[in-house]
Amino acid sequence: MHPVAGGARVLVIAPHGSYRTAPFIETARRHGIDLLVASEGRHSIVSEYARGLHIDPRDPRAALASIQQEARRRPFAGIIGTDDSTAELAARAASGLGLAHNDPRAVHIARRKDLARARLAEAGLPVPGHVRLDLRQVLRGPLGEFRFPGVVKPLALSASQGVIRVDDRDQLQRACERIAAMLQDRPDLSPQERSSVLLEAFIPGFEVAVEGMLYRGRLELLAIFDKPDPLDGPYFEETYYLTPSRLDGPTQARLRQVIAAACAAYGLREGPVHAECRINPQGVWILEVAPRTIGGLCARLLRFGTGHNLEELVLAHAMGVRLPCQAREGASGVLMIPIPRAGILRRVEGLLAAQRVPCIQELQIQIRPGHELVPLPEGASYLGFVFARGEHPERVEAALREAHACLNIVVAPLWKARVTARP
Amino acid sequence: MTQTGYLPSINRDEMSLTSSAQQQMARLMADADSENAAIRVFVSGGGCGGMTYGMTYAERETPYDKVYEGEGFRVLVDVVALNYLRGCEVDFVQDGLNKSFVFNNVFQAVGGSGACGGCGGSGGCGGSGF
Repeated sequence: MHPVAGGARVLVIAPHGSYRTAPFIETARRHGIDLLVASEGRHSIVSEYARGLHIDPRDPRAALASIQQEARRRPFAGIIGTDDSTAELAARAASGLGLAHNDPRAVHIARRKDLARARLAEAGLPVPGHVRLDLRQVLRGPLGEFRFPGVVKPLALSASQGVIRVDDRDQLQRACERIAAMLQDRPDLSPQERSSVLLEAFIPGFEVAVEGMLYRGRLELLAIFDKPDPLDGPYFEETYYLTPSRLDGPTQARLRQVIAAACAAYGLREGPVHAECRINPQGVWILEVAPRTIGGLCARLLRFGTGHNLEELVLAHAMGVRLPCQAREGASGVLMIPIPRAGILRRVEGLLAAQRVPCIQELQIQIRPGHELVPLPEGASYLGFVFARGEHPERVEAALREAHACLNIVVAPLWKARVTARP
Repeated sequence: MTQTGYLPSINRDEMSLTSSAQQQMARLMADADSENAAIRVFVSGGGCGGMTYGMTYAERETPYDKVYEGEGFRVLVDVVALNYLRGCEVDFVQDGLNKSFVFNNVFQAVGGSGACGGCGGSGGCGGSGF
């Protein structure tokens, strides 16, 4: 990445504890880029957070002022928001400093599921029937011409958190009660995002995730990930991602076309794009297009023929450099290890056997023994990741399934207690 | 269960259990796998939303635990957690179909409601293992 190395300074705005921060730090270090992390982690034990710029993401005006002050002290060559919650602030900061950026309004629309649906419909893209519901009036509220089955989802959460399939009005009511309890504890969301949900028609079909980069409004597709397991609910837990895709050429071309049209509809023009789509005989349906990279540790799957990784592409783009990119030969995949049930993680057995499965490259358990496991829809973390590489996607998928079968996740029950001040 | 030696007992000023809670603890231990030899009461969190209180099975005791012994059950609490629980009464209540453990008088040690109320959050500052 020679054109961008040599002490250039980049600001990465990240929620404290984001999976995405460490890969950016490592990549920057490797290329001599001076990377500053902006987060709320003043008291973090991770030095990059503790020594970084401390901002309160819930106070964007003060956060912007801090970033601008820091830029006056020593200018930034680029600004990156790692996650949904920081992409809008990054866009605003980059806009104010004249750096490559998306329109902050476009980023806001992409993050808000209801606004995104409305914008796609305006642009003439296929959109499932949907209605925004006030959580306080779900039973009384009209559903118009909505037809079940549906999927109810919070307006501004990601990673399938709070997303629940509902087949009738009773299930809708119960799902909304569950989501309302989750949203109560989210001071980072706006009052409307805490009090409303989107109900949309369930779209049957094959699901894929797509990673791309936008350069001045032009979309370059980096990878299509097949999700071989059916995602029919009631919750929508990500498990297997495999690339390259086994979809045929015309379908991949149509996928690219629809995602590019969605980016244009939202007004996204620059930087990484992560899309989730469903494909069925009616066509390609956008579930989500987000102006960020893929979540979790899954970006590790992306290694490109010219020798760089996803973080290098994103850092280079933020500094105004476009790196040549072509997919590496062979196939790769990841298993996001599902949380089998709620409780306390006691241990994961069978790790050595899983690591010895041919094609398995790495296995990481992210949650330590003794910590609580929270499955979907309330949870938002993965138990861990298994990475594999092989000649063909079929081989990689088989290896991941074999490795998963080796694992025995021992979970102790958890009884949460209600507390009172009553003597 | 791995025995690490003599464990000091939890006295009633530190934590007490109602008879209903004691019966439920004994039922839980009767249903437990052989590797589970006690019930651990824990406290976690400590951010703006205050503490989280709960229980799980314990395979082994630690040198930092105190023990409450009852008919058919043992309860372990580490001394740090016990500081937050001081004076608490553990009860087990049934309200219609809902059954749950309730920790009464838990804020005697920490004061107030256990939450700072500064950000309106609850547990958003993350928890720690136990």
